[in-house]
Amino acid sequence: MPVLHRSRPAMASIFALSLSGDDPEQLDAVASEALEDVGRIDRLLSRHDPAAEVSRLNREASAGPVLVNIELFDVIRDCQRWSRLTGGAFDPCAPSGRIVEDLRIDEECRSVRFESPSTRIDLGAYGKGYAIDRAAERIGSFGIDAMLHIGTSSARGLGKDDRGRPWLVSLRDPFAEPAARARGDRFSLTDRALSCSAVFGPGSNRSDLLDPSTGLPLDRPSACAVIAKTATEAEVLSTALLVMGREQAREFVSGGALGPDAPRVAWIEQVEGSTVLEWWSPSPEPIR
Amino acid sequence: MMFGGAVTSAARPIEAAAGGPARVAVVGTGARGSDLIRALSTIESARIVAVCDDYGPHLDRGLHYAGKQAEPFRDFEVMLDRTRPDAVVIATPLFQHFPMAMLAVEAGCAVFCEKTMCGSVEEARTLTDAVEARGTVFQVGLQRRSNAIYGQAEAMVRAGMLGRVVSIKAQWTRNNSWRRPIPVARDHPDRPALERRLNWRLYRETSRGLMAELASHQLDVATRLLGVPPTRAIGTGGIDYWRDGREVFDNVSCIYEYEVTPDHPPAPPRPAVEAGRPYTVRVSYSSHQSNAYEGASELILGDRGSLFLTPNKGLFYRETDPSDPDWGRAGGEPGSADQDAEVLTAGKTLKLSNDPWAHRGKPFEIDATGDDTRDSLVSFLACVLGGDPATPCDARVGLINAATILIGDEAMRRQVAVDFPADLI
Repeated sequence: MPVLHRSRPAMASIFALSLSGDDPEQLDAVASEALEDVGRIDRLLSRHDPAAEVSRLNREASAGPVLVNIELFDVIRDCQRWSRLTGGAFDPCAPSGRIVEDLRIDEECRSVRFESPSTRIDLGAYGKGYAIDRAAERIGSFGIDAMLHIGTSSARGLGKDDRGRPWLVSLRDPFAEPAARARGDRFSLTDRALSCSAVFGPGSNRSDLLDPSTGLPLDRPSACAVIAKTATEAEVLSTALLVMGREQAREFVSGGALGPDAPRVAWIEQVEGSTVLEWWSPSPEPIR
Repeated sequence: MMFGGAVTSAARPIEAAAGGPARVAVVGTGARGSDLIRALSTIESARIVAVCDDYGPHLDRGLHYAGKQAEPFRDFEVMLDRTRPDAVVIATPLFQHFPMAMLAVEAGCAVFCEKTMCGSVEEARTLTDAVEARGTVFQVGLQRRSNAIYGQAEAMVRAGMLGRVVSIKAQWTRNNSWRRPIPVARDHPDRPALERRLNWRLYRETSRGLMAELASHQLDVATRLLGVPPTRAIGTGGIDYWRDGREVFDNVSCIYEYEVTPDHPPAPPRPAVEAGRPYTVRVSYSSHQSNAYEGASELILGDRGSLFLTPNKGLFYRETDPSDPDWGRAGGEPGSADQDAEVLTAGKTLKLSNDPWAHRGKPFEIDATGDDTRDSLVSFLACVLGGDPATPCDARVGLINAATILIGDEAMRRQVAVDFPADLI
């Protein structure tokens, strides 16, 4: 069966698609439409692009209420929900403020206002998952199977690959330097999304993840992978759990706050110089 | 239905809603229409009262973005009649622009019409006459007209920073089929009709292809910066790569001639006596769909500098690299060692490089300040509420632009040089 690979730059990363189906012309058209969606979402959520809605919000919302379109409004409401659910561990307004306290929304007017002049919103992590999910929805609406990923940290599979097998993923040791080959099990990402986050990027000793309670970068080297129904959920949780730290994260995952279809979580740490990956909750079935 | 009524000689400020918001109806809620609806929904001076599309899935999407105060319609004339909007935004396929814009103008509405304004010069002329006779507030969706980078570019050209503009090159290249996916199987009875509807860009009856959909933006930049319309066009094009049943070219190349009366003397050593003599600027345009290397940009070449333009970034390069030694340059502090002297430093060596672009030197960067689609609508709404027909891109600009792309299209199809319509110069 034909498979089509396409990509585009988005969110300071590369967004890539592999589509499998029996009509190459349709694959090309669906891929174009999905990548168009990704571009649109980049233009919606980027805080670096002055043309983006989020940039306009960051420029203007401290001065007074700013009308935002329904899509951004829904995204902001969803972020507030996630922030509450994770006890503030997920917070796109960190470190300059808290999304629940410092960002006011008016449902009737669809407007957003910042409480303090220093408040800014950064939907970087959320945006990557959100872009994958919207593109996956678009591709799925045409009944086409696909693997979508952005950079190497977030992916979502739809259906089967071109050989009729599940889309397979495996995890690379986030602590290995230089970057090592993937280790451990492969598992299926059929109709599931995976996101992995690490406190430190490869070769870096300063984290770009911030603890919303202190505003300081995280400093304990650990990594977290989450398999969830959507890439947004996987992105949000893989970030939030790292912010919580191992003990609190473990409690949170087992506490039932995430509902019956709870995501699967892998906590990755270095113990005495070697990398240990531990699946909490039921681990995914490995593919041999 | 009541269209027509008293013909007014000037646009009137909207009485019912002095200070806004203007009641806006949007027709055509596909990808572009949805962009416009999303932008309108963030503008205080607009209230989207109706959305219209005769294709159900698009109408649903438009309605979602417009919000619950908007009323959905399948039929444009019914929408006009029922909602009597202050302004109509037209984002339908090209062949529907003219009939819909005419109906909206005759109904006394302000009109924002996506580019290209019309699919024939005759239609564009008729529409422009109607707009000008009524004093309608009318804007064409050439949003580079509302982009700060292009505004800056125009100011730089007028100020003489490029010297005399001698050539313009522009292209829009992509590597995909330009097809919309069809949501039914190949053997479905609705497939042919849906293909024609959703892929209207690919068929001659509904589209003028790459020239209308892409070149229109970029040739408007050339016309704006040169200050005159072109005089004629030659071109070549074909269906070279995507031989999938489409009827419009997937590969176009046109060269336009512009006769320019200079407002700046040429750079030395050209004699200054030629200062006022008209000269020809050739603008070459190309677009194809099987290699994305060059992307979309315009390059404005003057005898003193070059401007590389995109909607997100502009780059200005001086013709002489600022790092070049400049012997005999006068300047420096009086009485100091650097007065009228080139200053040399021991140990300074030229950096060796195989960079093929080294001769360009370092550019001066120009950045975007906002979303040009939204900014163009903000300007339009200000004109609507103020009854001001001087929009950033009025019907006359749209007419010149339509004629420009259409002579290129004709030159390619007939394989002859085609003159710009004499009455429009």
